Amino acid sequence: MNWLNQEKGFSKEAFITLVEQERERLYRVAYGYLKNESLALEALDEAIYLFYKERKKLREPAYALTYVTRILINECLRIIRQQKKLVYEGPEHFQEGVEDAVVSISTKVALETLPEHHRQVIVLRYFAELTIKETASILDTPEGTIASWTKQALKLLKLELSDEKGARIL
Amino acid sequence: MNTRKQQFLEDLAEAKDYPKELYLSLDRLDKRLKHEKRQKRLLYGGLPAFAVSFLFILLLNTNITFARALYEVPFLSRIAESVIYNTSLKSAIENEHIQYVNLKGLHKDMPLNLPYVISDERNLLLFFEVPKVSDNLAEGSFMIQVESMTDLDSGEKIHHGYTISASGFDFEYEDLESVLSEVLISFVEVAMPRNLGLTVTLNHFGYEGAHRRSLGYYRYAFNLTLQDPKPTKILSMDQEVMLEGQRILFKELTLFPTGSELTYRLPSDNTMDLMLHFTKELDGVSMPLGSSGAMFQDLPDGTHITWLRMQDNYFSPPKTRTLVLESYSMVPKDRAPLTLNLAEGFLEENPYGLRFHSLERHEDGYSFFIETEGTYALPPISFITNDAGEVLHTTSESLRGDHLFGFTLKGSPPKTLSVEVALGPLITLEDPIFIPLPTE
Repeated sequence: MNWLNQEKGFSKEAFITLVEQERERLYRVAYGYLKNESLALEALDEAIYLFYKERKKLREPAYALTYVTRILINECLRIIRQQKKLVYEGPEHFQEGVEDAVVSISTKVALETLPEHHRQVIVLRYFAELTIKETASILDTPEGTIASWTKQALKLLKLELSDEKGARIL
Repeated sequence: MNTRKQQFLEDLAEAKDYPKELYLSLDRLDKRLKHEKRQKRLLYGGLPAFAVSFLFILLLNTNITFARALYEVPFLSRIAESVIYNTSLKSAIENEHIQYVNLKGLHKDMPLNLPYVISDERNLLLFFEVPKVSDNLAEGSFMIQVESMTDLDSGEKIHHGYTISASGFDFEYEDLESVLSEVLISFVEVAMPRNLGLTVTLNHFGYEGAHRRSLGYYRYAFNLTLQDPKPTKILSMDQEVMLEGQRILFKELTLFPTGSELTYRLPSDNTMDLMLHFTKELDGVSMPLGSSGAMFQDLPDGTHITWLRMQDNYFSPPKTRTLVLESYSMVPKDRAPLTLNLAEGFLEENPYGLRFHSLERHEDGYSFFIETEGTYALPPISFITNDAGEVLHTTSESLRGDHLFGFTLKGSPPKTLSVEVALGPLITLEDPIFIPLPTE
């Protein structure tokens, strides 16, 4: 992200650089949430558009990635809310007894059953390969809390992964 | 490495299978911004022309709708409104179905206006206006919801038999002085009162990170007296389209004040059940269909009729409208139910690309999950029956995009269930089928 330090304000050129450098990471965030290629692209396009329109309001250019990631997460959540309109009757049972629910289903489905803050840390840390510090910045939450949420989420997913460096577990 | 970890790593790897369209995101943004610029230019560039035509009509006194508009609303505010609402003054006033009600609501210093409505026998379109009384309103989004409705003639609340469509909105451009939002109420099963009391809420909200927070919540009451419904116009189509040997007969287009209704028939001699997915082209520009609902009927002779409601552009009617059949799904009419073996965890082999995925037990019931090979717009199973032939009540939901569906039932899972396939995978036409829609 050092490219941002050379910019004064947030110019169109800086915006293009950001998108070109970070689009794969942003796509993985969207895919982590939506599990669908076309929906992930739709969310990313909308987030890029909204970020472009709002970029002049960005007071601190160094937080551009944080800012666009937050927009993207909101967009993903909006799409998920729309998708939930396909639910014909209440799906409340998926919100309850999460630990039991993940036993017999795949990790993808299990991820969707996690409480929102747990899902966020999994997507940001493992799909987007962000560090605890970067994740904490995006979610505006203390690093200790992020570390704790990550452990809890991995436990709920019944995964034994290194908790130190996000997707560098690979 | 345990299986679960392996599965998770595969999921992560799948996210890195980047589609080629990802690398065209800046091109798509560029096109979108250019399109917006064109629209803005059109909007503002047209303003003097509206004023000229308005005065011209005023002087000649030849147009009753203009005269009425001048009489009912202040001239300058209408001009300003036309710009704000992304519509043309001329066409807004010339919409013969507009009823100016000019109702104003105020709660906690937050105004909400209802300047006009369009209604017919069963549908009511409300055009709400949110004035920007504070710069704070430029942040966040808004949602208008109808909290309750009362038939003012009988004094009774209307509890059911209607649907409401509304969408969130915001001050898209900083220089807007107000925004307009449509709410459509369709009285599907009950008659629409002509004297109607509405309680509506305005929710102003924003986000902190991923967390939604309320910026304001307001409540208003409006009493409406609606004009008598105007007669509908029926335009004949009688066009036949063949799709994989199946006939689709587009019969007619009915024009209501609040929208258009397309009637099409699937004749009884078709061998497949079809579900059709449309978009539309207005003056050659492709856009979503804007459907506000559909009704179906199966006649005793096996003919299937669909009435598909579409919202119109009330203020700038296009010169040409074309229905575009983009995709469809089909299943044989004589399909047999499939056996789902819950005890052993498999679904009978089938040509629809449906597979048993998993079974979950809950305290008071169970859920089974069906994975689909192709894309399904809706849950692929309709009726579920047990060994005794009883149809079981189920709730269904789409879980993973459009490839995994969950079905939840009460009680303990039996050894087997019989499931009826509702539709097949979505098939996108390489060459969409264009059906011109008649105009008046």
